[in-house]
Amino acid sequence: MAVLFLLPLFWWLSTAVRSTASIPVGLSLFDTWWPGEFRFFENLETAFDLYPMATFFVNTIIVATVVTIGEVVIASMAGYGFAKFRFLGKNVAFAAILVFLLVPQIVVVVPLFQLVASLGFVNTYPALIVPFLVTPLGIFMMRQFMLEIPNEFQESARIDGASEWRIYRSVIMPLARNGLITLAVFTFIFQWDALLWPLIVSSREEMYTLNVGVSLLQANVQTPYNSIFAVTLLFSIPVLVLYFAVQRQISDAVSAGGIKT
Amino acid sequence: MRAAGLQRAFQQRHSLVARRDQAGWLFVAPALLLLGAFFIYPILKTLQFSVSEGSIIGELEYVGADNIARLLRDSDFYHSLWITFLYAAGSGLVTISLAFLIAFVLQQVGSFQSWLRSIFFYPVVLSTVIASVVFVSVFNPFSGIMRLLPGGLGATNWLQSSTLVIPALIVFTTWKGLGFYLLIFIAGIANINQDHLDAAKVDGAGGYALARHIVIPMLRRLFIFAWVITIVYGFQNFALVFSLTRGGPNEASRILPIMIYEEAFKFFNMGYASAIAVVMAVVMAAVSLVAFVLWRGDREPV
Repeated sequence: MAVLFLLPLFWWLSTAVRSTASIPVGLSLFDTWWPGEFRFFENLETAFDLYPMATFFVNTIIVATVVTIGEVVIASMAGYGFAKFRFLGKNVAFAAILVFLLVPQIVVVVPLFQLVASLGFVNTYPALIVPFLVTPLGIFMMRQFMLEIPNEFQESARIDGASEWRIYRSVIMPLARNGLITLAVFTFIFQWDALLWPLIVSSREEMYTLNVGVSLLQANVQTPYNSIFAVTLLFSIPVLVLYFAVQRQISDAVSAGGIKT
Repeated sequence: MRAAGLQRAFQQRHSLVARRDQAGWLFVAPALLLLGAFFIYPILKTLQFSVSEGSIIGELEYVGADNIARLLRDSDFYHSLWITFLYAAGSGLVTISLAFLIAFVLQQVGSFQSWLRSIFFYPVVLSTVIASVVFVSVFNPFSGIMRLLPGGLGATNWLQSSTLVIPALIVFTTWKGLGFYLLIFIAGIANINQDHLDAAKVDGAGGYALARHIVIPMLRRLFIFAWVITIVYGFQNFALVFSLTRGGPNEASRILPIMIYEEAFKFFNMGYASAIAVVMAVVMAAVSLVAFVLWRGDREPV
């Protein structure tokens, strides 16, 4: 099973280093798996010459980074508010958020496009960023996380006369560090994966994200596949590195989510 | 003196509570404002669109239940609903069974756990679109990996066959998502009281009996949880299906989100697209509700 899961990766690697000519109809098994040449950098060059791949990549990174920062700050504030305060309408607001967890994106996409278009955001970064600065899932995750922080920290800071904002900034945020990192990684990966919305709001090439760009290249029969393999491989390295850097946290978060059910 | 002191203390406490209430609102306000504008407002608009007709910029015209009536007569809609269900349930079934099986075996074997986990998890972090580029070529019958399969399975392009395209999507979905469920099941199995397992082993239970009679019943709630996520996720997995097949060949994999996308942004039938979206949301809510009832009902005996 593990071998089956690795096959596509080997396929990806071996195709990314082949020259165009040797891709089709490799007859023997050995020919299929062993490229016998290393043309990775030439393939990269071809891809960069043909398409503004660097722009796509930079767009994706900008959007994913800003959305991640927004989500971490705004959702953690909301999660803290829901977990540690009592105020009028709190339960209603939180129940609404639980319901929204179940609403699929495709359901809101049509009016959202209309709204974003009326704000003049089409083909700009705000169109890609602003609607996702906070999500119901992020608020929910943060609230669950904040519930586990004992009230004593908050109360003793309050007795010491700290302002509520200060308590959040200097007491709660450091305590919630693991939760914030988990949320940040998930948000980044979601954005890295996003296709539907960027496809709708970006019609000019310089605003394409990587996924939109690659998706359109894919539809083009002329696309030299080995170059696309090479360039997507290069651009996938950052998320793979990110994953290995925080592997522990992801495992713990996913496991905890499962056990609590 | 004492009364005054008490009163002061009370006032102080009262103002602290008031300050706290206000602060609570301020902490949730930015999130609620953003959700209001970019989530709640669009949801309400979708409901309005679903009973209207019109393009994205023009005037809306109220048409009542016309869209729904058209939907109920539209064979394309039933086709898409069926395909969506087939795809979501199929990939859920395959992913959950394999994830459980692998988690169970990993737990019994014990070695190389973190390595194997990474091997199963790496597809989860890759971009679906990028991974689909690799898979399209994997399915190529002339140069891809699949041509190594025996007989007709290797000679056909799964992505061009209306019968094999759903299995192809299930293969891709399983590869892409299994790692996530694997982590959940590994944690779930590790969480089972070791005494139960040891007692069963002493009684001579083999791996199969252990899984069948102890582990699976104890993880019932986890299975329900995983089912809900796979179904809900499968129903709305636009990115995966669109990038692998674009709904083809001949609409054989045109799941509901792709149908909605095309109605809205290719044919500009905003009203009709919204009506489909509302029906889809209702179907998904019903599925979640059934699962929730099962899940709640399970709580009592424990």
